[in-house]
Amino acid sequence: MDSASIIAAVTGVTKRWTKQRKAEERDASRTVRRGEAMIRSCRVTLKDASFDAIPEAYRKASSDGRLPAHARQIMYAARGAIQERTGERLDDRYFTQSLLPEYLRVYRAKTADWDVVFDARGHFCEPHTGRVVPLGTLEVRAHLHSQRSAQQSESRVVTRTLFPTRGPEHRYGAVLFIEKEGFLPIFERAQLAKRYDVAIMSTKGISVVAARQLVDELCGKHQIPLLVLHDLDKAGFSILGTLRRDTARYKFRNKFDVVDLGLRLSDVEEHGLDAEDFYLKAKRTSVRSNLLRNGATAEEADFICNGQRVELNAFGSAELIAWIESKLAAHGIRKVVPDTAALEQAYRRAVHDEYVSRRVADLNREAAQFAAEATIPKSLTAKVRTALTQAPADAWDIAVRRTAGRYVARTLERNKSKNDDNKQQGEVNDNI
Amino acid sequence: MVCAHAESRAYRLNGCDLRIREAGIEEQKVEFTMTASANLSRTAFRTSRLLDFLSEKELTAQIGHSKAAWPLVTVKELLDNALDACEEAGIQPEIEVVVDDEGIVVTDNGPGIAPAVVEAVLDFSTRVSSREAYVAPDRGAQGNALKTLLAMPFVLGGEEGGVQIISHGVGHEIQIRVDRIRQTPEIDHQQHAHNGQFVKNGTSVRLRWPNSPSSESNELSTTDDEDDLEEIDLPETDSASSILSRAKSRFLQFADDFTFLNPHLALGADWHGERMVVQATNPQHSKWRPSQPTCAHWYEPEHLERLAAAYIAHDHATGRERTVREFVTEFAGLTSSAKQRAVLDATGMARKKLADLVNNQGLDRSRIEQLLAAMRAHSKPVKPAALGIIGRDHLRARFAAIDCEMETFEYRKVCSAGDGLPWIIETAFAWCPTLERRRIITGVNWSPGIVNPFRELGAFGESLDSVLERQRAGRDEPVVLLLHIACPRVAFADRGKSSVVVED
Repeated sequence: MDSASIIAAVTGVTKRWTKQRKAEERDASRTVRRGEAMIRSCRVTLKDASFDAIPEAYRKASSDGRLPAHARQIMYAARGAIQERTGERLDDRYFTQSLLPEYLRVYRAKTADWDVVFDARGHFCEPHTGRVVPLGTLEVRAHLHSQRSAQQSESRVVTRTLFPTRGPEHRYGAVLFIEKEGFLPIFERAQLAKRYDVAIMSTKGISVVAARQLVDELCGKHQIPLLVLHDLDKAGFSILGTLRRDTARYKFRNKFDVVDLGLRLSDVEEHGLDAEDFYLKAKRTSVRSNLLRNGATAEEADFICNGQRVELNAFGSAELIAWIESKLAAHGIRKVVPDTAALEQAYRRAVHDEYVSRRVADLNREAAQFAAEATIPKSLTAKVRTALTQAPADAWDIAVRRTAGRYVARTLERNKSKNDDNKQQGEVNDNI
Repeated sequence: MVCAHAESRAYRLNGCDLRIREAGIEEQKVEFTMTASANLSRTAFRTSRLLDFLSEKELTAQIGHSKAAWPLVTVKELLDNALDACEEAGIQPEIEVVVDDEGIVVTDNGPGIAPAVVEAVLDFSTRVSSREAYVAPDRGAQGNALKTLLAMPFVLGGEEGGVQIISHGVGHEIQIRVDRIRQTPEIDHQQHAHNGQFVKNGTSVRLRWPNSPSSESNELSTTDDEDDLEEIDLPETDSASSILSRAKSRFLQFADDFTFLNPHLALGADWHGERMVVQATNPQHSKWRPSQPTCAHWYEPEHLERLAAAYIAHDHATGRERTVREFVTEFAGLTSSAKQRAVLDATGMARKKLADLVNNQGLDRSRIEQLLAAMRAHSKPVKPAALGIIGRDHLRARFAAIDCEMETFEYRKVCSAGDGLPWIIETAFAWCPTLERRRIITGVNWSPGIVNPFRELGAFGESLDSVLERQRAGRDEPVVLLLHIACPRVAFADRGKSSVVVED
């Protein structure tokens, strides 16, 4: 028997107490929560405290349900109470990405009328239109709303624009999903989206709910395929899996094709890509079954479970583009050509536009002369000030435009009356 | 100036000649003569050693604790004895501790004390112990506990106190008186037939505490930590009754400490009607019993030499001659004839008497070492668990009983048997919000310490207290800590067994 054994035994049994007391020394308020900290059954977990605090936090953040509440706003409203009860620091990412979504899922009925929105964690880019939708709740919702409500009724003067489209119809034939944001400039430079008429969606890792909601709507309603580009690793197959099947966080409403365009072991071998070693944290058996479930072959599952992975970054940019294009071609992704009716409609619209375009050039010249001959009001400054007093939200040039508009209207009216008089006089003269 | 002579030494000091003549060594006596202007031939007076034993200073040295702790010493020694007696007889101990107007009474259900043993205890010139020479996980091993208790009432209150022992149907009234002229103590021992409950089984020992306090007396001090008891600075005039009063809180707690270390103990404690009862959590609790043979692996040569010498002296007094084989038979794992023969063949001690190991300087150390090596070689070490484990369940039950928050309960057990010497360390800890101060229960071999015996741990002398301070479990924290070690060979730094010597 030695002293070290005795000291080790004593420090062993007092370890938890020591930790608690040291925490109390750093933060005196922890003394009052000693019971909660020391007694397991009394201990309030972050989850318990969050679930208790979320309803009131949502009420505050949403102004009693009148406005949407951002997940981070709810986090700020709840954080004080949660930290007070648990004595632990609340990680905002843990709250917004895990605790709050879980609460919404568990209390689905209770939160059915809640409007909780989440941060954008990726982008969706349409080809040709240049329309970019951040993959956040509000942005996706607005995009889908505009797509549903917009009709083809337009009153336009400006010409030579694209045929108006909302969503995939007549614009793109597939959505290309990639699990990395960094490749977008390369794709843009290679005009990948334009050359293949594909919309490109990119996220940072696993797709967010907003992204899944968007592809559900776009691909499901318009029956276009979702092409998924991913790494040859555990996360890559998980990304593919979460886009193919329902999860706790999102259940798909529509059925559509999800095409695996990801990096497979055959690609690695064919292109001689370098694998990298990584440390497998989780249990090998569970990782393997997860990989198989998400579409990996047994060989690929073994490859990954043996601590190896290959990222899309293993390609050079040119090789990557070439490889993707080969995959797109292999899956029959081609340029979009609308049906005959749409083509005829587009043709007439183009004729209209060309006509207007040419006439507008003449009109511009006439307008320039009219403007040059216009009389500037002497009290223009006073008029602008008066207008801004009446409409404080307006800019000064709006006030100028409004004044000029009245001048143009009066002048054109006067010119018109003069022309009408001249015309009548001419008719009288003719009759005489 | 010093002048040396053949038979004596002479000194000059302060104008006086001082001559010292040494007497024969066998007399162990020194005579002093002083030559000065007036000569006085001093007389060498003889005084009784028993009277020394009956002084506060000597008794404090024997006990190892100051007067303030004597009520606790009383309960400790009597409970240790009672537990040992019950375990030795294979009886589940049921012990009652009572403090009443007459003093302290401890009653057990053990096999009792024979009248001859009581007589032997009254001989203050000898030390009687069935533990001292053996190396075993015993509660006590000094053989003078009952003697110190007999002396205690006398030291505290002169002839006012006394001791009553009832056992084997005999009541013993023991009182110590002093012949002030001859300065000799006289032990008044009256025996009478006792027809009460102790006719056959059990023992009741009553210390008639001088001027025992009544139940209405004010408690002078309560302590939650045993160390505080040592800090009670009693004025010289403090009466015996106030010593007992002061000890009330700690006394009851200390009695309760026994129940933490002994799962098989059923204990009742009564302080002037204020009653506490603790039932045994495990009446069948298994532990090493004093009647079990000791193990050769527990001994070092000096220990075996001491045991052999004790046997030789005892045999000499009883007119017996013990063989080495008989000596070997007493050890665990060496009871079979084959094993004994193997040991004797290995040492060449077949048919040797134990007394044959004596040479001119005492016992022949080399032969003792040879014998021990052979005994170790032909027997197996005892596993730590065989010593007895108090156990998590029992400690959990006891910690719960004193209102600890049981979700904070922590328990550790460490066992080892390095070099054949088994040991077990058990520690338990819990937060107890109702406590105002820390409570420590420390014990060695199932006997709690009156003070923390782990006052020096490691090369730098760190104490258990400083370890706990570092762990934020200082004496003002509302926590309970138990630390118990079981080991056959525990070294103490003092006679009162209040400080354990632990290796670095």
